[in-house]
Formats: sequence, structure tokens, C-alpha cells
Amino acid sequence: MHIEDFLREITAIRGLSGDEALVSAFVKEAFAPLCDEITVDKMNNVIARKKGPGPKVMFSAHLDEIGLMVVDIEKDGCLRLGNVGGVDPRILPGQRVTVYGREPLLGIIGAKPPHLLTDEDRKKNYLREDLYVDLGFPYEKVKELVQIGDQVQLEHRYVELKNDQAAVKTCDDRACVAIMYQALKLLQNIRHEADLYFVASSQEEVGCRGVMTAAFGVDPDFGVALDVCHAATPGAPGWRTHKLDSLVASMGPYIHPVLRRKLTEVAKDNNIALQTAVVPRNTSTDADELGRARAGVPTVLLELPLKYMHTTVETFNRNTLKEGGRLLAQFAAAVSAEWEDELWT
Amino acid sequence: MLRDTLQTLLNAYGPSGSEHAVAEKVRELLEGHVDSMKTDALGNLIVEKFGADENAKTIMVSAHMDHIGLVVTNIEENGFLRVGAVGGISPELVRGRKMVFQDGLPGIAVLEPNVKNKARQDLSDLFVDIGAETREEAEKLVSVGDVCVYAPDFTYLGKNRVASPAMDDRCACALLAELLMYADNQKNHIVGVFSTQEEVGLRGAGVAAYAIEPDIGLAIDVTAWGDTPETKLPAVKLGKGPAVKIMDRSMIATPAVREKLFEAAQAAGVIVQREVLAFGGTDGGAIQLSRAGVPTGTLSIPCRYVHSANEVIDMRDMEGALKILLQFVDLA
Repeated sequence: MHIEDFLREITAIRGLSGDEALVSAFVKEAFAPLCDEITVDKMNNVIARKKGPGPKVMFSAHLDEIGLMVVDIEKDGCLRLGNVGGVDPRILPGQRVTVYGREPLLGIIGAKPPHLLTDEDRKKNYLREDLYVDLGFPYEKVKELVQIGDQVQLEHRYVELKNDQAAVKTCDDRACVAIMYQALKLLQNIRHEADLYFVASSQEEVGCRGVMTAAFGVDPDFGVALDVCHAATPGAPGWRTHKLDSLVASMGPYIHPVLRRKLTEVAKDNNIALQTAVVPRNTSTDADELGRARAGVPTVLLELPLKYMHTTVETFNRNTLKEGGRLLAQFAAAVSAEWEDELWT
Repeated sequence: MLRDTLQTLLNAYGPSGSEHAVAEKVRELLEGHVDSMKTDALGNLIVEKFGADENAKTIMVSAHMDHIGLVVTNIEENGFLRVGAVGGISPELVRGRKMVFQDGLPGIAVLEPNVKNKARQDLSDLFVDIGAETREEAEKLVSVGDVCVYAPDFTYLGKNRVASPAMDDRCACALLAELLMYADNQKNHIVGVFSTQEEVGLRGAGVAAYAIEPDIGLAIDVTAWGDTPETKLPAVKLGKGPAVKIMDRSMIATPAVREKLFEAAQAAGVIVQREVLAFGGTDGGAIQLSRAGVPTGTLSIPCRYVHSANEVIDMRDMEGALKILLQFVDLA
């Protein structure tokens, strides 16, 4: 499968945090022919191992997606909503959603027409408490089909843009799962010493939970977390954003300095462009938990710049995606047992 | 009787970190009913009751013994005590309440009445009056680090309801104790954990789960309510059955365990509610993430005015919950 076809397919699959079984099954099937062992653990983490005699390296990109959950059903049949991960309520009006009730149901999130708003209302942003899903059914029918706790998934539409860009929901972080897929494909023809574990992790969006149990299970010597970061958009602060056209290697107290240097050297040797970001505290990615698993894991963070994070039009550069696969594969091939003696040199 | 067990456990002193008096009461109740009891390094009381099945799974069922309180941080010249929070205790809920220290010493929590901005009062405006007139007198009675809790105050409320401090989570301790008493020849191993330090970060249950390595985790805890005049969420009502947690801030219940709870409820003929809580957490969150992961769920008792001195539950929800638990240890 081409990396972009992988991304197109995986972003469509239901996998809200805490209920990733379907998307885990997809990843398991796609990764299986490319690795030696594959398991899905109790938290729905997919753990693909490509064996080697050397140190254990764990790569982690999360496969869960943000979405909504039914928290109450009103007497008029409206579904009130809670968050699964950080969905911004401002993007919701006008959305088409799928409610996973007793059967999948199409619904819409509307908005009060501007004609009916007061001047005061117009100045306000949408709040989640004021929004609801309209299925078109009356209360009795809704009660038959929908229960509190049912998941609500945002709309999937893959939009190919000009200049090598594309937009789709859940690039955060399935674009990075696609990068792992690409790396695994490339590694079929590259010799590697390290014992490689590619983990598509669960429940990142609700607190990096999947990676905790996966890292305990794998017990790695080195960690590489992959996640998305912000690309430049009009009005966004420059110091927090990056160019769309290359990957970012973050630095900061949660990132192992020598392992990061090794990563930048691999990039340089292979002519892969790499930007730098400074993260002064926790990274809010799998890297944080991977780094403190068991007795501690030297960990680096590799990030894919994305426009419009946590919307249904998360936008990335296709070439950056492919280069990500190449960098990951080359890094995996470069890891050697000597690295363990060089960690604080 | 569930009601007697509950009352026995409610009256024990047990702020986070000093739960041994509660553990002692539980030990007395369970003597002769279980296969083993031990206390671990964090004070968790871990109780085993073996299952009958050859392929029995180990189910860790957790209910926390600790409750919230106020810790003395400074004794002032005039004998008043300045305090900090142990767990989520708010000045607004504690103001005017009668408190009690471990040795039974009473005190009154007072929110400074003479301040300009009453809307923004916090714990620094709170003091405890133990009746001492001088620092010397107060120092003979308490030391910095001593913790006071809401004084026991059990009240019947209407036909089916009871109000008391520490209902969070002694009502669950009562359920777990009765589960261990009445489970008879059940299929699976029950490891009951009367856990410590839940209110300060799910700390006891985390280490207990690490040691036990259970196949399945289940927390029993209270949840919030949505059935008073201006409160709608969570969509959980008192007296309408225990609630099966879908998610809160600490955990998304493992779908398979959640479904087993619904099955157990159906088998027990108990109607249950579905709970989505936008805040809070339970021991379940710590159990689920233990080691390489433990499939985990939470059974909730709807409780009004959580963390106040009058936490109100409905005994019908309690009775329903016990029936579900007895089924669950057979079904899972």
C-alpha cells in the first residue's frame, strides 16, 4: 500500500480514545507482513516487532482520535455532548457526524441562524454545552437507538490541495502511524542491528495512557515518539510554529540530548531536512511517558508539522510524510549497542 | 445488613495517609469470612477470597478507605489553627462545620467573616477553632501535621436515603466488605483492596495493582449527580440504580469490562444508569494503567453533595450494587 493510501484509509476508521479496537485491527493487518511478531495488548496498543540482536528501540505514534460522546438525551431528541480528547467547540457547527448507537447514525450539529441571534449572542463563541447533535428523529426513536456514552465521530473527507498538501481529520497522529508504516516497508531492504518495536499507541489524547502500558510491556533501551506540531498559519505566533515542508526534532528537558544529536546526524547523513523546536517543559506527547517508563528510557521526539490541529482539515505536506518514513528507517538502522555507552558523552 | 456495615465504617477516622482505623474495622467485619488479609506498605488492606473455578481469573475490586480533611500547617499566637487541604476539600463546603482530630478532639472550621472580597475566599481565609486561648494551650492539644476530618454525623433522610460525611468512599467499602462476606463458591478469585490515598491521586490502588497483577480491575466509588434544581450533568439520578462508568478524567472504562457489568446487572435484575463524568477519577484509572495494562471498569454509587459533610446516597442503589457485584465475580 502506498503511504498516502494507508493514511487515507486509516483516517476513516473509527477509533476514539478508549475504544480503538477497529483501528488497531487495521494497523495489525497492515503491519503484520512487514514484521516478525505482532500483538495487540490490553489497552489496544499495536506492538509490531522487527527482530534484531541489538538494543530494543520503541517507536510510538498514537492511533486514537479525538471525538465527542453523548452525555444526555433531551426530551426533544437532541443529543448533548461531552469531549473525548480536546475537540474545540468552535469547529462543530455545520459538521456532519456519525453517532455510534445501536447502529451508525448520521447526524448534524447545527447552529442558531444569525437572524435569530441578539447582538450580545453574536459576540460570543460557541460553547459545547449549547451545541447538540440532531438526528432528525423524535425522542422515542432516539431513545431506542442511542444511549449515554455512545461515541460521536467527526466527518472524514480527504482533500488533496495544491503544492503537495493534503487535509484530512486525525492526521494527529495517524499521519505518524503512516510514517512508521513507511519505515517498516523501507526496512525490508535495510540491514538493522537493533530490535525494533513499532507501537501504534492508544489513548494519547486523554493523557498518553496507552504508551505507559506499552512501554512497560516492551521495556525498551531507547524511545522515539512521533507526534504532530503546529505549522505556520496567519496570525499564529511564529515561535510556536514551523514550516510545513520538513520534520521537527524537538529539544528540551524531556528529550535525551545525545539521542537527539544522533537523530540529527542520521538526518544530515541522509540529506533529510530537520527543523528544531524548543519545548521547555513536558511535551504532552507519548515522549513524556515513554521517557519515564520502568527505570527510564532515553527518548527523542520527532514531529510532523500540521496546520489546523484538532480540526477535520488537519493539513500536512506529502513529501514531509515520506521523508519521515525515510528518516525513521535510517535511524532504526543506525542504532547500535555502543550507543548505550555514549548516552552522557 | 448493608446499612449496619455502612454505619460501622462511616464512623472511623481515616484521612488520606492515616487509614488504619478504617482498615481495623474492616478486619473485624471480615474475620472468618475470607481466605487471607494483609496490609501492604502504603496501608492498603488486601483481602483474598479464592474462586472455585479451575481457570479462575483474579479480579481486583477496589474501594478507598481514605476521606478528605484539613491538615494543620501553623498554630497561631491566639490558639487558632491554620490548615491546608488533604484532597479536594473546599472552603465553601467546610465553613462552619464541626471537625474532629484522630484522638477525638473537636474543632470548628471557620471561614474568616471579616474580609472585603467574600467571593474570592480560599483556604488561606480558613482557620480551625479548637477553643484554645493561647498558642501554648493549643500546642498541648494538636501538632502541625495533625489532620482533622468532618465529625461523624449519620442521618436518615427520607425513606431510602442516608447522609453522612465520608460516604465517599465508605459506602463502597461497605459494598466490598459485604461482597467478600457473601460471595460463596464464586467462580473467580476476588482480591478486595481497601485502598489508601485515593483522594490525593489514586496512590494506594496503583501500588496494590502492581503487586496483585490482576486479570480484571474493578473500582467501586461514588459519582456525582444530575438531579437537583440547577444540576443536569452527569445524567445520573439518586435511587435510579447504580451507574456503570463509561469515562471520567482518570479512565475510559475498558469496553469488555463495562459490558460484563451490564450483563451482571441484567442477570441480577438490577436497572443501572450510564455515567459519563467530565471531571474526577477513581482507583480504576490507576489499576487500568498498572504494568502492561489491566482491563478495568468502575461501578458507581450516585451521591449528592460529594465532598461535603452531608454526602447523600440512596440505599436502593447500594442494594442493587451488591447484587451486581455478586454476579460480576461469577460472570467475568
